[in-house]
Amino acid sequence: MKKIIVKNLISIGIISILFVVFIVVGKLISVSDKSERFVVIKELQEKYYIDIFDEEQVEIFKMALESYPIQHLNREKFENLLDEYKRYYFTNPKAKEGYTGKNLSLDYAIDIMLMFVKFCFIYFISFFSLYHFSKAIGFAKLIREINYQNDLTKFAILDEDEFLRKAKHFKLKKYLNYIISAPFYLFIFSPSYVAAYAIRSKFDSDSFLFLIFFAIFTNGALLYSGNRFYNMLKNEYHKGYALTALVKNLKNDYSDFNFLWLFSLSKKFKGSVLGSIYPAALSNFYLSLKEIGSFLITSLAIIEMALNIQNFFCYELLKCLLFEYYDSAFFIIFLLFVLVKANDIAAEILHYLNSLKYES
Amino acid sequence: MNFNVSIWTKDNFPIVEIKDFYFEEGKINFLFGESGIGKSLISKAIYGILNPFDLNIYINNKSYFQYLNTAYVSEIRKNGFFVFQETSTHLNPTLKISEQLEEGDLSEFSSQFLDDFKYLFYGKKEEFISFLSHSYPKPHRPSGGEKQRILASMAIKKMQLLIEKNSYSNLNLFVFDEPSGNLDDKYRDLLFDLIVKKYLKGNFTILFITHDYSLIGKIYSQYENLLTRAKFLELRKEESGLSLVEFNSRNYIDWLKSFPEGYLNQNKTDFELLKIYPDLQIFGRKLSIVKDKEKFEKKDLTINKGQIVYLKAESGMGKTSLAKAICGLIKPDKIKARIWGTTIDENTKFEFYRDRLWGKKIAMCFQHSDEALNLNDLTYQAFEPFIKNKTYLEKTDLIEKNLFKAFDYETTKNIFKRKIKHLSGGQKQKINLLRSFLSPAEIIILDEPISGMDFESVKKTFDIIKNELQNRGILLISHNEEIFSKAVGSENIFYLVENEQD
Amino acid sequence: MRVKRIFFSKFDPAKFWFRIMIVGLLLIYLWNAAFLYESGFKRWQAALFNSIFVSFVASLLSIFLGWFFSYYKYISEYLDKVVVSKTIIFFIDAIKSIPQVIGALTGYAILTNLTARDYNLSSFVLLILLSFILGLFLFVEAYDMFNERIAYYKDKDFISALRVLGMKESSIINKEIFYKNSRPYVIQKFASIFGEVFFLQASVDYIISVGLTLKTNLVSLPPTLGNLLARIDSKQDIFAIGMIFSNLSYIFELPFKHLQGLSAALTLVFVLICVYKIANALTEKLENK
Repeated sequence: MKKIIVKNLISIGIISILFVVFIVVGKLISVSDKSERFVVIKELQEKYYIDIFDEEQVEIFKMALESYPIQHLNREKFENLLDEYKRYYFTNPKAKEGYTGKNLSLDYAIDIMLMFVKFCFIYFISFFSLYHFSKAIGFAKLIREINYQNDLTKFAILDEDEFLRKAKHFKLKKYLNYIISAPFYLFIFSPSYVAAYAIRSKFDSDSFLFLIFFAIFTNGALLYSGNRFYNMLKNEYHKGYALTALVKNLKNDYSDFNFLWLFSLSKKFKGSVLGSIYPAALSNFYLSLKEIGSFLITSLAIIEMALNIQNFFCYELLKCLLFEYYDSAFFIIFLLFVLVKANDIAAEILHYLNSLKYES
Repeated sequence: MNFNVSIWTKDNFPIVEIKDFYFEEGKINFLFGESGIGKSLISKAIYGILNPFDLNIYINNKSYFQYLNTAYVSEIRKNGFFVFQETSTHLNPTLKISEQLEEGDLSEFSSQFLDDFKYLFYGKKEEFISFLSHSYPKPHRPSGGEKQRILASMAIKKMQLLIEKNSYSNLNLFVFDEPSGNLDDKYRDLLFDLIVKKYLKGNFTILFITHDYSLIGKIYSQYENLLTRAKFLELRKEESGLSLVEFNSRNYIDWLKSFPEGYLNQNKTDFELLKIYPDLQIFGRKLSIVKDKEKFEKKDLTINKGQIVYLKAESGMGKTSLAKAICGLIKPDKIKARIWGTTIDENTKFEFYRDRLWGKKIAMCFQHSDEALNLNDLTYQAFEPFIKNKTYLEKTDLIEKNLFKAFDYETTKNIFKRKIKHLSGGQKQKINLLRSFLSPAEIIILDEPISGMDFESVKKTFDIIKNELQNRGILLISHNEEIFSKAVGSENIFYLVENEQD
Repeated sequence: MRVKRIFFSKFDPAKFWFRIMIVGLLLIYLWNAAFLYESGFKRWQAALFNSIFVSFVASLLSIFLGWFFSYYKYISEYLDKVVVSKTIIFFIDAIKSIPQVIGALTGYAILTNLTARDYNLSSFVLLILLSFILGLFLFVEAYDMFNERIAYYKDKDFISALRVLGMKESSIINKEIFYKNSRPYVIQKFASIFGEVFFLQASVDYIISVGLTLKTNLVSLPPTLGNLLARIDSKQDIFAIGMIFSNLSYIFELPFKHLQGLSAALTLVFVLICVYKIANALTEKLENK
């Protein structure tokens, strides 16, 4: 376990140094908004109600400054500053309306960290839910397959015509299921922004529940991870020791299985072939939690960005990227990197602790 | 009971078709036949453990769905057992060995079984057996031989439970699929003795699938009374397809008697090719090469031109690891050897092996032809990359000549452009062997050269080895002790043992 | 024998879903040709073509990069060049640790920032550069697959058997393992990465096209399904789907009145489902071998 932590900490350490470099470089290449220079113009606009784009008003103000300079501002300085401001206003997106965003500072870093904590909270709940749903889906799929095969085999005691009629009936039922589940497939595979817009009218898009729901049930996340676990179970089911379990006449009939059991956290199939294969499949599944976690983070990022959810972590990143605040952007990316690494470390530790159970 | 068995893939390619497969109830049926011919698949089909959705199977003109619902299958599944061949994947890695010996049908307690289990590990300390039972199976521990005995012990326990309950009959079918493939003679004999003991008490029907022809020798010498209750069968591939014939066990006995002791070493010279010094350490284990196991007499293992040396050891001791270390394929903790006058040790860089030895001075034929060969290659492509500086026609000619050493003209023509994965196990193993002999290397290491071969192929391989020895030295590793101990001669036999003294 | 027909017909799910995908796209094409207004139809065609083109090129690039890094990592370990192998492992680890969408987005933002300033790049070149960015963040899957193939053979005696007979290491890896024994895996991985790129590309294009406010936009990228969905009219079309919950009969009007957004969304989701099914079928084929 020490090895896992040390290896990952070294990786985090080196990448952190790289990110510090990126942040510094980002700060240098970030186009400064220079807006501090034009605070005076803004104050004058507010105090004296001057429309700086109205030539007449500006001319009157300049004449007044000639006679009555304000603080250190005279006519010449005002003219130069105004010219610069106008140029800045027309060329720099940061001067436009609706803009928010800034270079990295302590206050801003704290704001970002708070958003990150919110993001982590949503991520952990989504991850935990997705983990259990995937296991449930994987199990349900395999049990359904085994039951289908067992049921059909039992019908073979009938004469061949009757048996083949039953087989066709089973197949038709299967195809009908596919057709009925097509709309759900469409929804689950939709990118989150498509699904969200389709049912958005009643939803409050910046609610936690909304984010968690869409993270799990769109972008194909649920089927992707459920299928992953199903493949692991199937892999184990085809291994030799499952066959040995069959020879020992361990139970392999799940017709009495209650599908509600799938949602209980401890899955007990004592004395059955599934009970034999479950621990090994779970052990392998722990390692694949790295990819699932990474995919979920991508999913959440897409939801926040695509739906423009204000004051949320990934949307903040989008703003920084688009407004060229690369120092802040790299800081946010660094935090995401730390989250992904934490997920990797947790998955490896979980796998390691689980494998310790099977050490003599 | 007779069976007409047809097995096809899901895409309807035929795998196995045999009209008259049988075994005699109440007898020990030995089933020989080259590896990959279908012995295991047919047995599994009859036992009822194949999935009718994975393969298209017909037994006695009934679909497999119907066959699985017959009373026959219910009976044999309930009161029989199947011991699988492949030990590495047939034990549950998440259950202790003791738990696996106590689940399902084996959950009942039997005090006799505890003694039987210890018997299978005779010579091992009590602590070792206790540690083994409470451990979880890992890839390298227990060893292949130990795993094989553990799997076989499950069948032994089932037999014992049936005996204790007095509910045994001819319908109790016990299939042992290559149960002694990883065992040396000592443990193979212990296992076989135990199976025979149970058989004699319960009169079960046993199907013993094996390539170990030396069991015939054992029965003739130690179990003559069993000859009337044993059946020797061979599954053969003929022009018309697969057929099951009675194997003439006397042919094997006569063949064994036909060559003198040390037959393969008749043309031994004094020219040293390889010398291995006796003290080694591989993967943390201290080993020694000895001439006499009882006296622990260490000796340098020397191989001269024209000589074949037989290295014996208990299963899992490290014979193959030693062979790999000599070839520079693994890095040993401690080794010292002399190859063609050049001393090598544990610090020898791999560049030396790559540039001077591999394919030039030393070659190795690995045990599992399925792993050593590229199964997607056509047969001739297995040899092509190793023939340098020849035109296409010259290469083809050379490859054909090579194949003629092991196959007749028609078979050679048939398999020349066939994919290796479509060949039988015995054919693959022969190609594996021929490929190593194609190399100009004068030191060849053969790891289980006759594994998976039928009797005819064994004889042919014997001749090939004899011919190839003219200009080479061979280090042999094999579980077929009866055959090779005689053929090699006792003065050319060495043992690899654990060095507990240093 | 009738059992054979019911249970063991020569049905290839991968080919089946590929045909479904082609037929489905053709049907959407014909429907759009009949009912979608001309400029919308041209836009949809261009978007579909560009999305498939970028996904295809990015997937090819991913396979190439995956092979490249996997092979050179193996060779540097074999030759005991620790620094090189550790550098490759570190680099791959770093790429894996950045969520794909973030990496792609950063790449897109930097690219469009550069192009907005100095260069006048053609659509084709932009598409190639976008493919490169996407391929860069998805090649690690191909890298893992190539590594697994090597590990599979390393575990067995395959590599040792060929080495000891004098075969060069590069031939063992590239010819014997990758070329002769891994082509089906490469195809399966290609299909899988294609689906991921298709999804990622649509999402990133959508995000960038939506931007932040109407007054702030990046340089226009070539049309793709993602930026087609980001258009106001497409969004309205998607919004309209929600109306069927209150008025079920509206479902018959959707395919006529709200076709642009609906066909873009349907094309996107349909291709994702088909590619997922194809990749799954190929995976099952490999596992059943």
